[in-house]
This record gives sequence, C-alpha cells and structure tokens, in this order.
Amino acid sequence: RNFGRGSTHLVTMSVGELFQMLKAGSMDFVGQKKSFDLQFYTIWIAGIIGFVYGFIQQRFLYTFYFIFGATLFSTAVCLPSWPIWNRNPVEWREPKEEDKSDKEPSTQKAAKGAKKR
Amino acid sequence: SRARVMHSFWQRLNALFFYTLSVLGFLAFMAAISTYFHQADPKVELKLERILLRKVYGPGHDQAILSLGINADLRSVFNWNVKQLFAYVTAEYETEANVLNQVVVWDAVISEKELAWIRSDFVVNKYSLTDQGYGLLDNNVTLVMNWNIIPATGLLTLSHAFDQVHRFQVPATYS
Repeated sequence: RNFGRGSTHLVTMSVGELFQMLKAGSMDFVGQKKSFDLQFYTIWIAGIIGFVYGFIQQRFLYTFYFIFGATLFSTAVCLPSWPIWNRNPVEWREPKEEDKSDKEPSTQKAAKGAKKR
Repeated sequence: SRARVMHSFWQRLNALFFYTLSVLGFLAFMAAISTYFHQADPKVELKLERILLRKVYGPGHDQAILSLGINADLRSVFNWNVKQLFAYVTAEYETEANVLNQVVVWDAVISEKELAWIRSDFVVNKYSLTDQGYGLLDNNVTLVMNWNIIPATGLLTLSHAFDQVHRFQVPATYS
C-alpha cells in the first residue's frame, strides 16, 4: 500500500491503520518540521493577538486564554502522529543480499545499523 | 549537512509544553513593562468620627478606639498587571520614647477594580490604636492611607496618600 510519498492527494486509510500510526507515535522528518513550525507560529500569533486584546481590556486573563487556546489546538493537531505528518516517509534502502553462512552475527548487526543511517 | 534527529512523542510533548510556558512568561513580563507609564489618580478622604481613650493599667499603656470615616477611590491604581491591593490606614504620631509611632488601625484586601472604591462612613478600627506607654494623651495624630500593589509580574510596591491625610488631636482626658 502506497502511503503517498510526497503525494498531494488525500489518502484514505482505515481506522485500524490510523490507530496504528497514532500508536507508533512517530512523524517523518518533513512532517516533524512542518508540525513544529505550525505549533510555533500558532502559539506566537495567538500570543501577540492575545497581548493586544488583553492590553485593551486591561485583563491579562484574556492573553492567557488566547495562548491556552492555541496550546490546546497545537496539542490536538501537532502533537499526535497524524497522517499529514507522515506524508514523506523515510526511504529505507533495500537490504543487501548477504552471505549468511560465513558472516558473524555482530558484523551483520553492524552492517544493518550502518545502512539505516 | 545538519544531522536530523527524529523526535519521539514525549520529546514533542515536552517541547510543546515548555514552549507555551516560555511564551506565556515572556508576555507576562511584557505586560508588566507596558504598565510603566500607568498613571494612578487615587482620591482619598479620611476622617475621625469619634475617639474613645482608655488607660490600661498593669503594663501601663494608652489605648484609643477610633471610629473612622474612609472614602478612598483606588480604582485608578488598577491595571492589568495588578493582582491585588492591600490598603491600610496608619495612625502616626510622635512621643518622647519614639520619633515615629506608626500603628495600623484598619486594612482591606482589594482584588477587583470594581471593589476598589472604599466608602466606609462610620467604621470602627480593626486594630485599636495602642501606644507603648502613655504617649497618646493630648497628642497630635495623623491618619494616613497606604497601599501595597501586589502585581501579577514584578516587584511589590508601596504607595501613600501623604497629600490627603487627616490630623486630629487626642483628648487630654480619658473617656
């Protein structure tokens, strides 16, 4: 199943697959950056607007509400590993054909570790 | 090129939480700074309605029970960085023993701007005006309104209404 390597279409996914993705808890590098940027700007912009509104009303509680609202939004959207944050999965290389008879287990593990980087 | 680290769920949660906390902290600090030019215009009026002077034997000291009239409009002191005001009235006088005696006779905690206009016409003192010795008899006493501003962010400050004090003379005889 192709989960859309950099595709722009919405990919349909079953609930089970969605649950597995959320449970795995990981985003790919592109998604991670995008998610962090969204959270960064959401909280800052809400903070600035909240600061201006709080200053006009002379109540810092309103500033807090804006920041807290943005935080709740970010927690819901940017924190879990939703499919939108997994649209550019890391492309692992295909494992090389190994001659299992004469290689030691430790050498094999080292080789596998090197490939994943 | 820069090494990329893949963050786990907990790392992302940690980043989000402390990021929001730092934005909140920074804006709280900016809010405190924004009140630097805030002008307060308190209007205070203090009156002494009645005084009852007693002589306490034993350790030996004078004690006065005061009935005060307080009209203090402290609403303009409030801004978005003020959490509370602690307003208190002191009775100040001079005796042979001390250059300055300062006794708190009444206080109030004000947490909201709407409640900051103190209009107490005939209120008995919360704490009696008690001298260390017999220094109250036939003495001049000044009533001063003071208030602590307890901010949301920043240093606690103390202000006085020295231009709106009330001076009175304690009777020369005990009640």
